[in-house]
Amino acid sequence: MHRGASTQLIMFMVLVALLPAVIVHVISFGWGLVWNLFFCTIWASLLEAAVYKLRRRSPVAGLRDLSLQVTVWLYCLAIPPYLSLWMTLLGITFAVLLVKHAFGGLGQNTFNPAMAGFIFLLISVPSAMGGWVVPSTRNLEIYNPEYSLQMLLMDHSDIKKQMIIDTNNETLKKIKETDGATYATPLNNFRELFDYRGVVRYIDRDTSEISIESHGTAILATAYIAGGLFLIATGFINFIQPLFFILSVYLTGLIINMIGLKYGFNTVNNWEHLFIGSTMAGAFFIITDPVSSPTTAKGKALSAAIIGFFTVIIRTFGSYPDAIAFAALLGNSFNPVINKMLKPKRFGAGGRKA
Amino acid sequence: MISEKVLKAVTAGKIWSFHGGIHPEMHKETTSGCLIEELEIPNILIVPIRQTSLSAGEIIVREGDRVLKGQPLTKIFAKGQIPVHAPTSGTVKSIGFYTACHPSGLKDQAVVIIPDGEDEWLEHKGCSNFTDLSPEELADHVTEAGIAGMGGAGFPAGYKLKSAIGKTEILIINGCECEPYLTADDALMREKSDEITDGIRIIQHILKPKLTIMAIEANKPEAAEAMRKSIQKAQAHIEVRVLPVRYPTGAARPLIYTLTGIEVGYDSRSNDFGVSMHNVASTYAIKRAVIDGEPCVERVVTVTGGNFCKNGNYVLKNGTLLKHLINKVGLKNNKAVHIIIGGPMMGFSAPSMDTPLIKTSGCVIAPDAKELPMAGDYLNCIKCGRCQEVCPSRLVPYMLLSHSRAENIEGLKNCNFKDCIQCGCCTYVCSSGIPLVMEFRKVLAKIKKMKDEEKSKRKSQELIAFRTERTEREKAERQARIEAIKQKTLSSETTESKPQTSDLKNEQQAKAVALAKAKAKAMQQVNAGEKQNLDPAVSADDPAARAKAIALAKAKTRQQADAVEKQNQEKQNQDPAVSADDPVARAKAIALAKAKARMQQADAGEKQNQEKQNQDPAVSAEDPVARAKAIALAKAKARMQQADAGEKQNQEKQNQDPAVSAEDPVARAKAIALAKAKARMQQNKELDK
Ligand code: SF4
Ligand code: SF4
Repeated sequence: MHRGASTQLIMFMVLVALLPAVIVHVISFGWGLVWNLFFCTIWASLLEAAVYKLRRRSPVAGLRDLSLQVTVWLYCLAIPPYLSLWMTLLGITFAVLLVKHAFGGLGQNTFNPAMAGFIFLLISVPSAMGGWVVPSTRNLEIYNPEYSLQMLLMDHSDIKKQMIIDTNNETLKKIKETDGATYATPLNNFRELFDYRGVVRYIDRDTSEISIESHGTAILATAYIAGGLFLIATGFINFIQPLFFILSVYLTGLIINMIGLKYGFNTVNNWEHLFIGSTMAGAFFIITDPVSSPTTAKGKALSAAIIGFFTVIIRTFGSYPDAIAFAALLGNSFNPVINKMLKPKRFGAGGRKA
Repeated sequence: MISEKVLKAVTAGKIWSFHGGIHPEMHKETTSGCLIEELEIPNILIVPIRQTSLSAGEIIVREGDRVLKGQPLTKIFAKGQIPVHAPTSGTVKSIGFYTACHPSGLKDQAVVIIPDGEDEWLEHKGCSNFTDLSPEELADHVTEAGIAGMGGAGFPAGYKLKSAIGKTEILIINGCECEPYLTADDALMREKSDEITDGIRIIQHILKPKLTIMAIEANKPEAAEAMRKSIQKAQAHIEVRVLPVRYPTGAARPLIYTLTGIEVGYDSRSNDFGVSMHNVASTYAIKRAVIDGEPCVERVVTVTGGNFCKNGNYVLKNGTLLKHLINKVGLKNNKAVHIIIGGPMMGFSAPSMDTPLIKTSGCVIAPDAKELPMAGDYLNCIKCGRCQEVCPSRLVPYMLLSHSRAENIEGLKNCNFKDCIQCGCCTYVCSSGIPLVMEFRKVLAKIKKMKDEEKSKRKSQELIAFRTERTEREKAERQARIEAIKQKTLSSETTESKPQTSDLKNEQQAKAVALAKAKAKAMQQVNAGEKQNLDPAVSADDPAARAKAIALAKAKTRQQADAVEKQNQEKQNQDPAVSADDPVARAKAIALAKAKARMQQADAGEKQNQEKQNQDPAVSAEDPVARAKAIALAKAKARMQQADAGEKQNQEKQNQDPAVSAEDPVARAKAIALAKAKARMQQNKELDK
């Protein structure tokens, strides 16, 4: 008998759709992500199996739904590729044990576990979260599997030092000159790097050549978009959330820009908002997580718009990078209210007793 | 009632679209072309007497009776009950508890009939001129014919009709048959369209609607065509409306909404809105009941699924066992047979192959491995919201699910759980393969059980309270009486004395009167016939008791004198012993008899020393307890008889009186038991009549 796609299939397709982003990520930043995925998968599966054992449910059946994999992938894509392994594992432990299972397992958690894990790290070890390398095709060579693994096993202060040593790239040298100490996510320092057109300003670039070096984040964003459109086209996710989210980000960015121009504070161009950081990852993969989003179409639209709005606000006024994670959690916390507010009208209440 | 505007829109053919719904694979092709076939009469039929969710009537046949087709097996006593009729002629083999047609597989009362193969009808008379009858009469007739709503819900059609008389503006005949696999209604409409039209006309005559709509889903064009032709031929005012295919269009509430735009919530009934709905199969049964006078003893059942060798629509007699059907139709794969009774969405897995099919089972499916629903374990709910998208009752099924699992009744209530029509749409689309409806049914069963328990608890509490109150009251009354008597005895010497008094003379007198009575009684009994005397002996299974009873009878015979009076009540007096199935009651009855016998023996002659008589029973009884009892009884009787001495008393009253006046608790208990036994017996007697 035909039914809709199974949860398993949905999750599997999400993983498939994430593949382009994973590939681009590895090409731009090296093999760190692969190791992270490897370790996190094993660790998180063990954790979850233990939880299911404790709850007297079959671990196999519990793990079969692949939702854990999706969480792991999103989490690993969000954190810096070179982060001490213990931190990475700490974050995923938090995500699985506290965010997912303390709320009663899949389907019961209010917050997106991947984002919660990421934010947990951001708050507890903020200095380590800058372990990003500037995207470059050469990273694939430098951060080969062996070397990446070595990096992950280091302490995070060593990682930082090592990354500076590794940087023989011209572009990176240039950054070192402007901002010697920090190699943070491009977005983290967009205020300082505002003029660094290669990373941030891509839209009105004068060079016609497109490369990882010049368009790093934009290419990654494109990979997310490709995966997302694939999911929409195959009907695994609904277009409502990405659409409203992107619209909201764009419009809020536009308004903030106008205000910023008037009052003279730095803002990101409204178009750039769409392509920097993890806007697109958020649009197609994070806020679409069914568990932590409202169930009705209206609710979904509303929640997506709220998250988009907060994304831009936090980016502009907040002190943390990657506003998506915060905005998503904020948006998640509105879910119960939204679900209640948009509870369908009772059958019969609309009936006319003429 | 329906406003003019709505009525106009409805008449104009407007179709409202309900929320949700699904488009499952229909699987109707294998049976949709089949003609209705008769299935051979099975060699055994188990007819459950309860065929609806409401209570059943009382069985009025006995084991060994020969019954004819259409002969009622039960009689209805209360509103909501419908009778069942013998589906064919044969012998009632037994009456007992057998697996019911219910997912739980619980046993329920049923009549087992061994058909004789003649299929001989009980004489019946139809009434082709149904317009001569009043709507009420017709509705009662439908009830008497035992027609349950055949769409699946099984609400008795007769009561549905009766309650809608004078309230119906729009009559809907439901021929949607939206559930996958089912084609029984389709086949009926194609082959019996004339009969169905007649049926509709009967309902129209009963309900007098302004508008009658026959709803048929678009995937049954032939049925719609056949119906149209018949309607035209009969010049009936019925509109055939072809509806877009969607599950569950054919469910009551979605259909009412589709056709009228009226949403009937769980707290209201369609009658309140001036809408009444009947299923096609019920309509056909109504026609047969009214015009042909044939009660509902069979129905068309779709037999389908990849595992059956020969799919089709068969006429199955009420009470046909699943295994008979399987034998006749044949299974491809006999291992791990899984049978679904009812549709794939709303039906349930047959608990055993001995499950009888009843009036509401319209479909039997034997799915093959491909068709079998996703088995076993399911994943977690991911709140994808799909279930919510398809729920025709606009519920949030995943919320209901989590509340059901937590057995949070309050939460379920807040989520309007009662609006759930158990259509199964949510289960069908669930991404995680969660059997939501199954969980709902589970919690429903639990709620029901809880309610039942509460009810019985309340009842027993009430009973206890009542009993304590009664005991208290009696105690007080007795006390008051004793006081009064004491006072009286002290103040004056009257004949109104009671055994409690120390006045020996009075007591003796009383006893004398009692003895005289007892003797007279004994004689009458003997006169009334040997059989009566022997009855206690027959029914007592304790040899000793029987021996005693015989001895008693003999003694009585010996004493036989020319008794003159003839009282029918005597028989009643003796009967408790006959019919009491309670050993205690019987024992008591025997003790009573013994006491009587002893007294009578002592009183062999006509005139004897009263003193002696009084003493004798006590003296001659070898068992002290029995003696005590005998004395108590004698006393009790004496008291009573003294009260209305010289009159022809109502024996019943006498029997009850001891309860009131006996001061000895043991004696009272006995008397009560006796009275009870008698009451039971009388009931039985009434039933026999
Ligand atoms: S079974 Fe109940 S909850 Fe599920 S779709 Fe049908 S009406 Fe809604
Ligand atoms: S369809 Fe299933 S998984 Fe999706 S929300 Fe409903 S119950 Fe949960």
